[in-house]
Amino acid sequence: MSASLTVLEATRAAVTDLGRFGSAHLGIQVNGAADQVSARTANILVGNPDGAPVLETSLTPLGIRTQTTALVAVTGAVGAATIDGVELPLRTPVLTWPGAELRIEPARAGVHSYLAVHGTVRGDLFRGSVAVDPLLGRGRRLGPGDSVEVHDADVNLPPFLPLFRLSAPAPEHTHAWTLDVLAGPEADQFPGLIDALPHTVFTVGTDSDQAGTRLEGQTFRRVASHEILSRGVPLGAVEVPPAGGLIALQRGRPMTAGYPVAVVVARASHHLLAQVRPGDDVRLRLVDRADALRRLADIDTSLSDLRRRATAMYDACGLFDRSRACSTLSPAQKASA
Amino acid sequence: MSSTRVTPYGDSALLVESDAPHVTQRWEAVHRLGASLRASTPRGAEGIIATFDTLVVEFDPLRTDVAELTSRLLAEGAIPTRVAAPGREWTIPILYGGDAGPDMTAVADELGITPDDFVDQHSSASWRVAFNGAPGGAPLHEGSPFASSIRRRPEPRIRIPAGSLAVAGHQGTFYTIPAPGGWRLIGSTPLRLIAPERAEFVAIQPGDVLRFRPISAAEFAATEPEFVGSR
Repeated sequence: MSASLTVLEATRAAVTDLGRFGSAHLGIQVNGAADQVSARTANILVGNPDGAPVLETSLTPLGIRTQTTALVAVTGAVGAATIDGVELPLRTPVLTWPGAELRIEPARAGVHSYLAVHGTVRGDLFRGSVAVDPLLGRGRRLGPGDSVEVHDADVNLPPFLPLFRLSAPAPEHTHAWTLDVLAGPEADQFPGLIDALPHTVFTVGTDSDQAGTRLEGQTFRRVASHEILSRGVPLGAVEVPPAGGLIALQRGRPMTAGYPVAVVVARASHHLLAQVRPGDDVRLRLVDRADALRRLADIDTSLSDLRRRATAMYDACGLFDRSRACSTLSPAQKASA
Repeated sequence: MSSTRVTPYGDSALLVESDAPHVTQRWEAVHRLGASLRASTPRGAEGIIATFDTLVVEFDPLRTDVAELTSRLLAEGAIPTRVAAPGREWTIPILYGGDAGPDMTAVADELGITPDDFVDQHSSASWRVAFNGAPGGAPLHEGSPFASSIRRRPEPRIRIPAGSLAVAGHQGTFYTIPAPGGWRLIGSTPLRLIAPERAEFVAIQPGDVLRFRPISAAEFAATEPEFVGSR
């Protein structure tokens, strides 16, 4: 059975997933959920695959009415979430009821929040992903009055909240961030840059966008002068254009560029890079590959543990088991809900 | 024999560079590696991008065996390159100058030639497509007939119309979709260069040859905006 959501309030919100992989050689950006750890956490909490479509809202409130029973979870840079005015625990699976109004308020720090719904949120599927591609005009941005269908949304319990306390780790959002970086291919063309990192505080520039985050406050001069022909640029590459400021590339970056790359943000810090706001302070901490991969493995272990706890509980009560009898709401329950 | 260097590019990508003596061999080497990786994609690979003389492979380091991937790139990179047969040849109608190519007169001036000479030389050259790049599968092409490198604009334009033909350095590109950009605009084609509704997305591929046919404003206006691959 399908569930249906009605959007009551949305300014900068969209349906997204983890991104459009495998089309980079066609010049197609990866895009996708800016904070992948929060998006994956939300999906795990509602029993979805990590990469299932979710709703992402950025710096602005999101209001949703669930037209059916639905299992939902809210993660990311959330200040508060409520259902019909009742405060909702964050990073916890919650069963809503027909007509319930869910509201997500942005936090004071961080940018992106996620709402996952058990099932498959319908988006604009293009080359294997529903992620918004602003250049190609694909993907689904949300506005008031929109209706969002969720396929295979059935859950076998009458609605109540919260459902289980799964203790998903809370993100540490702040206005002073430390991101791990590795030396990039042109690190040695910027003498002093690596040595300056421990005592440099960058400020996030106001013209940062989904393509890149500008890190201002100190400039660096390149000693080499040869042109770099356009080449692929990985997520997190920190470019140093001729003006000398730093640009950390995000998921909406063009896939090829010709600026020198001094450092590359470690994958374990990508979800933090996505959450920095204009005006925030950013420190870059040089790590080696082993360190970087250890931190990444820690994040992965934490998500796997959460997945194991969630699966154990949902299996134990047969929440998604279609053969169970205790399943759907009786008409009386529906009327009272 | 050509050699290939493979270096880490952060913790989730490898930068592969060819040391072959000639630019065409380097291009051939990295594109052959890219095609091979796409044909049997390593576990965890997220993006495989071959451009002029480099290949960048992006991956999830927790799922990808980086040592195995590196060995494979070095082994396949050591195979001597043959210069591949040229790809398909395309003739693209272009309305040069005016509103369709607002930088054309200034670029000709910088090159020390008249606008008419610029159109003659640009449209007499055969350009080779190096790769499909950003944004939207843009067919980056090289083979400039002009001796000097062409400067970019100091400030990028916010929105360049789809179909615009642009030059910078010794390269050319098309804006396949409306996008920001700093290349110099010299003309425009009435044809559509990408087909998002089709699996192949682009028709013009790396290795293909581009020729440009100057057209009049009247022919531009009378040409159906059909996908270049449907012609």
